[in-house]
Amino acid sequence: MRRGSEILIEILTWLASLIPAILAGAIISFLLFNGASTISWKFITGFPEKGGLEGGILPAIMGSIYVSALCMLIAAPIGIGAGTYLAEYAPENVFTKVVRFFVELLAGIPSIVIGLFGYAFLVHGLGFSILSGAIALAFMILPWTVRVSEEAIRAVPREYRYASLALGASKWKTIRSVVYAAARPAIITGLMLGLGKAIGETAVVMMTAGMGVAGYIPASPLDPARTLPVHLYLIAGEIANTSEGLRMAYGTALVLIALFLAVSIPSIMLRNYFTRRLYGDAG
Amino acid sequence: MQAKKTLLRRALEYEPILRSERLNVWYGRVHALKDVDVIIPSKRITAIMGPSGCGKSTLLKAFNRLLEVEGARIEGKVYFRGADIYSGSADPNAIRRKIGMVFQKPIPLPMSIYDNVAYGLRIGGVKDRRVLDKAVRENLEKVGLWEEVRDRLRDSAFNLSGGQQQRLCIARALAVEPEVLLLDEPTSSLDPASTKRIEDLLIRLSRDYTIVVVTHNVHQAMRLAEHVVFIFEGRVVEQGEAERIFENPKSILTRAYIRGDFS
Repeated sequence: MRRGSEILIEILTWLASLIPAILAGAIISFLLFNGASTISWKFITGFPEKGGLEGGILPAIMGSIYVSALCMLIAAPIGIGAGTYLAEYAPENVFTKVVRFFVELLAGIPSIVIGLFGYAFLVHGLGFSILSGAIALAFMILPWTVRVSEEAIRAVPREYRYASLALGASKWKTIRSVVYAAARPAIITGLMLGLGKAIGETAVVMMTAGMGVAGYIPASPLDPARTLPVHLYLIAGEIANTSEGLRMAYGTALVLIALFLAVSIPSIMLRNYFTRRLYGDAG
Repeated sequence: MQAKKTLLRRALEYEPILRSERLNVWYGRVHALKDVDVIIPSKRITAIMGPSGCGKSTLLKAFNRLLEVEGARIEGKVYFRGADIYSGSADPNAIRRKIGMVFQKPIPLPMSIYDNVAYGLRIGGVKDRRVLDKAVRENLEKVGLWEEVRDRLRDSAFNLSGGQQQRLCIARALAVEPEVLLLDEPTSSLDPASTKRIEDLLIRLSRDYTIVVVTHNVHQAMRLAEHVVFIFEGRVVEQGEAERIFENPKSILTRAYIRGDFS
């Protein structure tokens, strides 16, 4: 027989777990209810008209894709590299402790401050551009990519390393052929969390990639771009007092969420595929 | 005449392929091996036996320099074919390709059955598909696994049973063409049928390879070994021909261990 307090705790924790699930469901239903009617072929493939009150959001969609893809190209190698050093090579000394401390510190810096830093150091040379935005966003998500890579690599059983070394593989060959393979599912998950943050980030992008009316699709990394969150911020802030503007904002939010899901669902499938290939049915 | 010739051949082959000289090993403050002098004869099965924690696995890992990866401190010498493997000019990766190892728990690498066997060759630079195919098949045949897995070489190695996994690990070790095979209690996690298969395999392999097997099981040592090293508390108590040691041990410690008084 279980005591009453045990049952009470289980009920309370169950309720607590329900709240985030309900919230996520509510937000998505709310957006679907208000924004679904906005979604049309013209909305997705068209250009904004009348300052975003009418027309489509194609430039912002492409802006988001470009900025976050380039951001990952920068943040993923650095994150995996730093994670590899910290997990495989770093001796437990002052230098390592300082590096870890600064990685933690970077994670705590508010995004608006990173935006300011990007504005001061990147926009000065590269202008308001996709490249500036991607680099600044990479700064923001680096702590996550570093930490998840380090943890994923650490979690690989030591026996795999011994088995590989015992076959005459060097340390780097062991890391490259065995450790990365085993850590891949966890690294993918971590990178996707970072990408999710990058896709949704507003402040950093606004101050580095620009936010001018996006009337054209950027063609070069040095072109400025307006991303979906920035577009959403601008139309919601300035024209949302009209019902037409509000409708466009809901539609944009819905596309933003869809873009996030379009990235994260395949990445979950990819992770499961690698896990199965590595460990078979046991995985 | 034939018997005599075989005897002569065996005597000539009794040259030690591996030999340690005043080998001392420390893990932190723990002195795990103390002044160990052993010889491992070529192309025979040597059993290193002793109670758990006596240092027998440590000695095994000293032979392929895996000890230093675990952070142990090593003093003394280990000669492989007359050359000290701990000398400054020795390349640990080259040594490990000549002296292969199989672990207590089967450790398939997280990849397919085929890739497991091909792994050592690939890191050695072999890319030719036909060479790899041939090596995978030959080595799986050597361990009697080919017929069981030929239709699912692309499956994850984790889908195999424990006994199959251990045979796969032996095939993987053989694929890099070592001269010596070190095995650390290779059957301790297996059922009796799988254990029998591995033991028969080791006896077959001892025609072409030098085999060193660590075991805390006296009966396994009796079934397999031609040469025995008995270790107790980090020291070699006795070593020599298996028959002589099992029938007429010099030390009362060895006698008690063989009788099963402690383990």
